[in-house]
Amino acid sequence: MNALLLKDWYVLIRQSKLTMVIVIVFTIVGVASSTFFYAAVAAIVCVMLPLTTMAYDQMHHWDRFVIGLPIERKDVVRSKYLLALLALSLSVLMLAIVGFAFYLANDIALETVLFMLWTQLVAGLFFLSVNYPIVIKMGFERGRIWYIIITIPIVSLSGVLNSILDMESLSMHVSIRNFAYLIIPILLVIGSYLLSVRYMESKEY
Amino acid sequence: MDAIRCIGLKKDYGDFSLYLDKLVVPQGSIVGLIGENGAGKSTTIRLLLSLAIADAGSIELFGEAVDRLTVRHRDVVGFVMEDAWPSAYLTACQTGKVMQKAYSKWDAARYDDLLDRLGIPREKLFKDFSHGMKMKLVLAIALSHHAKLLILDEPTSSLDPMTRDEILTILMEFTRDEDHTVLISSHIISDLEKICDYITYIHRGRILLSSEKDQLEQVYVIASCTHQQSFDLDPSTVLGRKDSPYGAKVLMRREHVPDFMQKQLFNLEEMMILLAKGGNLR
Repeated sequence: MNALLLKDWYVLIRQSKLTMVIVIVFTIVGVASSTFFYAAVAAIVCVMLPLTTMAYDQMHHWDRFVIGLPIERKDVVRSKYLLALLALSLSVLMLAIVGFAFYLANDIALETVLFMLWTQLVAGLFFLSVNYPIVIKMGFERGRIWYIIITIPIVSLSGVLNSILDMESLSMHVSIRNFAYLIIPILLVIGSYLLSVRYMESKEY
Repeated sequence: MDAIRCIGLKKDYGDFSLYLDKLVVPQGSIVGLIGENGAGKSTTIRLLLSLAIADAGSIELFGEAVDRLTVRHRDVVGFVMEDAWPSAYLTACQTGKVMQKAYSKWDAARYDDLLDRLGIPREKLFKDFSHGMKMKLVLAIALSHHAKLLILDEPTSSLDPMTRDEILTILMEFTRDEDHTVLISSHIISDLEKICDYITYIHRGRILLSSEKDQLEQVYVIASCTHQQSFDLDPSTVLGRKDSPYGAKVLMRREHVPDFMQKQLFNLEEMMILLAKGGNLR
């Protein structure tokens, strides 16, 4: 699996510099304006990074090549999920650093920062869980229709909620115990991973 | 021992079906897989590499029955496949580092040597390579992890004659070790004639012929005659034929060729064409 992570690392550092800039800008803008929408988008963009590598893999036929290498098919799936979780962790870490910096400067409430982190984690894990099995089963070309169908409502809903609800006051009612609810998206990710492995094991080229 | 032994291998795609009653690749040999486009060569190779799963039949690799190639098997099998390439956004050097983590016996020095020998640029992205250069890099990978078996699908297609010759030389060097085996498919039959010990001819998803290459020349003859003479031949002795405005060319077993027919120099490509045009060896 190390071979796959190294390959994706090489691809990402060459192809995804702009994406990382977008994530950083969205994180800072999100915290500065207490806008949860930006936090959710930053997480989704991070989780999209491995999806981008999958698109490249399929477009340039690495997905067939890798099947001939001494690598388990489930490791191909595992490496993509691991990469997605690493990318999501990075975006959460970034949000935490920026959020706490603003908190220390008394520009934002701690509860708001925590709620933003919670929103980011849930959005990222949900996006990962739903889209990865689709792209693995259908391929990026066909899967991207579903990808758009699923992503646009999530992002739009996040934007609408942000505008109609007073998220800052809502976040005051949210305590750290709410992180316990993360068990649901985590279970979703596990189910999604198992489904993706199943799709990959039965895939023919 | 046989490096590969397939019995009753079957794959049905609806509009095309492959059935290989017996495909044997003896260890230490080079076996050439020939056949027209869509005959089933690539499907055979995909089945052998577990990219596709057979509907029926068995595959043995070095005497061991395998449903699917495991990591242990893949570690000793080098491959070239249709539309299967290393990552487009990596250089040859980066690809080597990735392969080092994938193969347990990756030989970086050998890889480096092959990059030099085949003139592969080290720091250029794979996506910017020509088709020929891409093929050379894939071959360099296949030859750099101490594989015991190479399974190569059209490795010399769209390469210039100099590069083809270089690759054929490398493959012959590979099989100097008597444990090393190559199964190679190609449209360029002259390439296979140069290097193969055995030839297997697949036609419309079935094996039409499988034989030692040298034996083909001893057993079969391509002979020419007039149309009228060709019609007078015993049909059971005609294994394949092709008519032209100037007469007929006929494929026959050597002992069946009548004196009046003019024997030609044996040519594997012509034999394949004659068989494809309505011939049958069975």
